Amino acid sequence: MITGFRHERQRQTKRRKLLGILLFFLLLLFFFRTPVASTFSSVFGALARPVFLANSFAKEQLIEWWKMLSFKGSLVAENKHLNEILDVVSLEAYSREALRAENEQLKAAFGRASGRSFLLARVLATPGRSPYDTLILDVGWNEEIAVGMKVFVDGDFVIGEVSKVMKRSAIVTLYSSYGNEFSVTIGTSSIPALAKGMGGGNFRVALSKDVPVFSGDLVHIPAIAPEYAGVVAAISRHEGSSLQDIYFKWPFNVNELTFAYVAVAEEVSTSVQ
Amino acid sequence: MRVFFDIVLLFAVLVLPLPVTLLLVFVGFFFFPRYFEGVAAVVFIELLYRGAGRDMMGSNMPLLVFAGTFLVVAETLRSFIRERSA
Repeated sequence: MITGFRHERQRQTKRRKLLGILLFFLLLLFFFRTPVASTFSSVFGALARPVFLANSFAKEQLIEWWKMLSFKGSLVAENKHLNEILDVVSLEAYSREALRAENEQLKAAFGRASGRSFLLARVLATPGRSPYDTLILDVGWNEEIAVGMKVFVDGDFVIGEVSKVMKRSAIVTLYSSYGNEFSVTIGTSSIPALAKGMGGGNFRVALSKDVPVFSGDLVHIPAIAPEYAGVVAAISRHEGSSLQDIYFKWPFNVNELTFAYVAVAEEVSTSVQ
Repeated sequence: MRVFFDIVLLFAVLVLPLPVTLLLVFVGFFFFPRYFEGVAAVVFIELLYRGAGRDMMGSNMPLLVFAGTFLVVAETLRSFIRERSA
């Protein structure tokens, strides 16, 4: 039989259901603030690890197959283009290494020497899968990884810090995560500025218009050993404002990262002369 | 149908980009009654990918709050729809 009105009891049941759902969510939120959550996180991390590994393997295979299927002409053109880039980069690498050695010698002569030990780690998951701007690496407690260790990529670019460690994996919170702030200097200027993470490898800095900044300038993190935060991509100067907004980003696509280096030991020796 | 959708959702959490996962959760909330699997997927994302400290995109609200609110809204809207009985 079809009735044209709602019973009071039915309404009460619905209200109770909604209240139950709300209570369930409050309990879940509380759960995320407890240490039990990190235990669950480790368990889920361990369960998901084989899937991540299989996914990265499948991705590599697909890229290789795609290359095999590409037309010969496009492959020749790409090869030529890459060879040209390689010529330029290898020439620059000679001078870079010499300058780097000279820099280290000068620092040592002035009583400050620095050294880092790196551990190579495979990237299991890139930031695109979550709203938290984090990477998952395939190293953890077993490899003596600890919270706070810096993570680098080629070219001395620091991308973030280890924020959670599991048995065989670690979560790295990227410096570009929303709301993250850290000190930088831009280009040849030694004026410190505060960089703010904008997500996905992008940052913003507000600096006085008097500071000369150009597109392509390197952004440094103040440290004895070279550490770079990114490369200036765009500058926005508004009329009537004394500040300029500088947007910088990493010169690589973080979503395509396959390997990263975890700085497992960092040493800065100071000898008084 | 629901089980198949759940498997696809789990696959999306592990492999696909976040917008795709959220789109699937969104579809699930409207297509299936009391779609708690959507919330479970969000909990899974939080446990898997969230580091220590900050919440989603600089806000103080974790993704779970948004998913929870959405589920409640979807269920409330559903309660106003009169379904045909057999």
